[in-house]
Amino acid sequence: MNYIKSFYLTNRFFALAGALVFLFMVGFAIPAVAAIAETLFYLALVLLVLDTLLLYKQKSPLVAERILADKFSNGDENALQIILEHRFQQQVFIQVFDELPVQFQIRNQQFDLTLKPGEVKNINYSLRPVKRGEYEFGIINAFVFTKLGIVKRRFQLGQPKAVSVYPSFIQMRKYELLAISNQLQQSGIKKIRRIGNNMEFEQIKNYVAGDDYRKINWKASARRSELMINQFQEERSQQVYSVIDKGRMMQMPFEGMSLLDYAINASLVISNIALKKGDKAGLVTFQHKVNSVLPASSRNMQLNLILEHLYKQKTAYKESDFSQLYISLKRKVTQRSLILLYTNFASLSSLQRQLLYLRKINQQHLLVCIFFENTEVKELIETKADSLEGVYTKGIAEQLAYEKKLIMKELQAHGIHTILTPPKELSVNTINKYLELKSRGLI
Amino acid sequence: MKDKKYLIFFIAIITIYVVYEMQKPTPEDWTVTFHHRDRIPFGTLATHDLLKDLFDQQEAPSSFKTMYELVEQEEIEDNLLVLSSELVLDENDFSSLLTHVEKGHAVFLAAQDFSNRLEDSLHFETYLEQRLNPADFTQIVNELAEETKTRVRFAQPNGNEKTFIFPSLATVAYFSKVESDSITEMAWREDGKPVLIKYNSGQGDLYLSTMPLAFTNYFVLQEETSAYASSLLSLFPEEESLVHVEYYQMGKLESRSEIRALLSYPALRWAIYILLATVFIFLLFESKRRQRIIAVIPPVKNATLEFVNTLGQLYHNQKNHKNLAQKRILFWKDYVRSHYTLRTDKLDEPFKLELTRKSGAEKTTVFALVELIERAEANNMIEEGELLMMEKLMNEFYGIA
Repeated sequence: MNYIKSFYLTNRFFALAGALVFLFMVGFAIPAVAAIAETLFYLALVLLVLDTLLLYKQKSPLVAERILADKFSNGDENALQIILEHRFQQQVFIQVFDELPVQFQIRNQQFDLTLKPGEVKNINYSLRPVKRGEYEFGIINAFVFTKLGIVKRRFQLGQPKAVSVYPSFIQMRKYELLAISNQLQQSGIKKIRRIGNNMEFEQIKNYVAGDDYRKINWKASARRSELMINQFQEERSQQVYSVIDKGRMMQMPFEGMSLLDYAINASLVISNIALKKGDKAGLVTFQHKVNSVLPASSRNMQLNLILEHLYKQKTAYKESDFSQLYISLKRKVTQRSLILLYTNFASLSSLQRQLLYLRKINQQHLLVCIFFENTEVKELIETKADSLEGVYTKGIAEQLAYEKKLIMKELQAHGIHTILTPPKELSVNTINKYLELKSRGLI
Repeated sequence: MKDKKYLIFFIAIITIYVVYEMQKPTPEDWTVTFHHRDRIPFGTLATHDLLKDLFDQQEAPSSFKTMYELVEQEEIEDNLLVLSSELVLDENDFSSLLTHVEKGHAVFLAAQDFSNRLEDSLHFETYLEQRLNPADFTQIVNELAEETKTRVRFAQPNGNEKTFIFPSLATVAYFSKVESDSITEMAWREDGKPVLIKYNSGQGDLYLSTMPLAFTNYFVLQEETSAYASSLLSLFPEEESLVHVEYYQMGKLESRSEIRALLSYPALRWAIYILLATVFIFLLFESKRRQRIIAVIPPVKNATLEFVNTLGQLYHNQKNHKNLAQKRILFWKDYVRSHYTLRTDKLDEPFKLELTRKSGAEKTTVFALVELIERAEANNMIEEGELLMMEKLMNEFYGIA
């Protein structure tokens, strides 16, 4: 039974059959051809049997394994590897169909390989998930055929595996290093204000050339009769809350990933950096009501808590209620904190409905309102219009883009910090804002 | 939930229809086939069972070949029973028939009507009192339901006489003229008209009957009439085998497919068989799955562009060029302010020069654009051409290729 199940035919088989039919039809007119065709028919049968024998001689001559991480990082390319090893005595050709999780909607994942006797080959590829959650990998289907190429034998290899797609921890690690070493201005990401005016006194140390001589501690120098200098450190233990709007406006996808997931990824990155800098990171999510509040803390396990928390976020994309958010923050976040609010406004009027609550939040905390540039609109603006209707469409697009700027101005007019960013650059822009605010001592 | 409701409704309708169809009495099929596999009244399944009993055969053989093929080509040595509504024999068939009889075999022809060739050669005529429409079953049913019966007197070769009672339907034909010395009458209706005659030729016997229906299931299974068929069949020698020739009613059963003509050429036969086999194999093997089913999840769409396009069409239908120009100018001014940090409240000569210097755009472009903007702001109406011109100049200014 298994033999029949794993028995497949190639296109060559059908081409051969077609050729034989054609030959026999010609043979109807020219009997000599019919004789040749008959010979060929028996030859083809022999080849078919031979090919089948070659493929089925050994019981399990092919081994494959898929190597992948237990967790995938959302929105990033995640590497996978399939290792193929065979024991056929001749060169074989293999078509590999990897059963990918349904979320990818990829139906044509096919790899074609040629393996010499005893050769081991790796297939390396990567996948970019755009949704958090459980992903089910199936088995690996491999179809093997020989040089004769009439029969294909299917092997069902490997093990099914479930993988959890987490908020982007790859980005988290990447930006962690860059932020700690002040390298965000490198690799062309963005300029960053150098941390200068640190507030908190740390220690007195010997002056070395290059130190800021304005900070020489003269009393200490007199005592030690050598130049001593005050050293400061960045302020620590400030609270940084990532507040994620899970409402209707956050559903819009860019490059397949929703704004919500961009926000979740950025929250993870910024929380990690805040923790590394000695601050406390917390998390608030809301839609029509506040769904979860993770109090800010700088414990060791806080980052893990935040990761799990972000992983579990679900939403119905309801209309966001900022009054609920304000009430909740008022009650639960008592210490002045940096509030990074990830949201999206489409128009000035929709902002004005919420402005009251934002201003109230800003009175108590340092509010940074983060919303998104519409890159699709931007693309439209940057293309030529070829008709009058095209000009109109472009005009409307420009109006929409301009309105985003007005929203930003309106917020800034009320002393609220803003970030208007393309979804892709969200994480970088947020980090820079955080570092800037910190160095300016605004929290 | 709603879908389920519909499903239940649908299933209920189908069930009701099926029950209705099952309750409906199936109309009896009164087609005259004389076919040995038919259970219908005028088939001969029961007759063949009878044949098996009478002749001690495992299987009462049937043939779908012509008399000529059987006698001249296959040279069979069996006795023959031919049942037909209308028996039409051509030249070859007729001569083969005579040859077969002369060789000493028995042949029984039963038909309501015989072809002229047969009648002329053997010097007899038949008369059909009432021709039934074979497709009109109700007529047949009515005819059988009527109580009109006919007695048939049968003189057996051993001298005994037997009488059978038949519905008139079975006895509508008779031999109206029998003019040959070599013919013996063997059975008569009650009005004296012969319904069975024997033609002596050589060593064999040729029997002709005008009551073919007597051999059908209907009459064979009825008590009153079943003995008639068996009496007639016992005219055949018991130890010799009997073949039922169905050709003259059913035709050549197997020769109906036109592909048979092609199949008679070996090369084409190969081609067709390979083709059919390949198609079959293709269906069998290519329908197998190569990987598991991946359910379709529609991706969330970014509807911004649709939204912008719809709005654009809406404004385009209004054709308020001035309004649109204002929107574009606002955006342009913001662009100038944020990119080149220039004030845009006064679009004067120094502004234009400074903008040219800072933007790196052609001087003519900048001057033309600013002039167009000033004109658009000053006038109440602007023309379609100006709007298109503005698009062109702005593209040049923004550096959109």
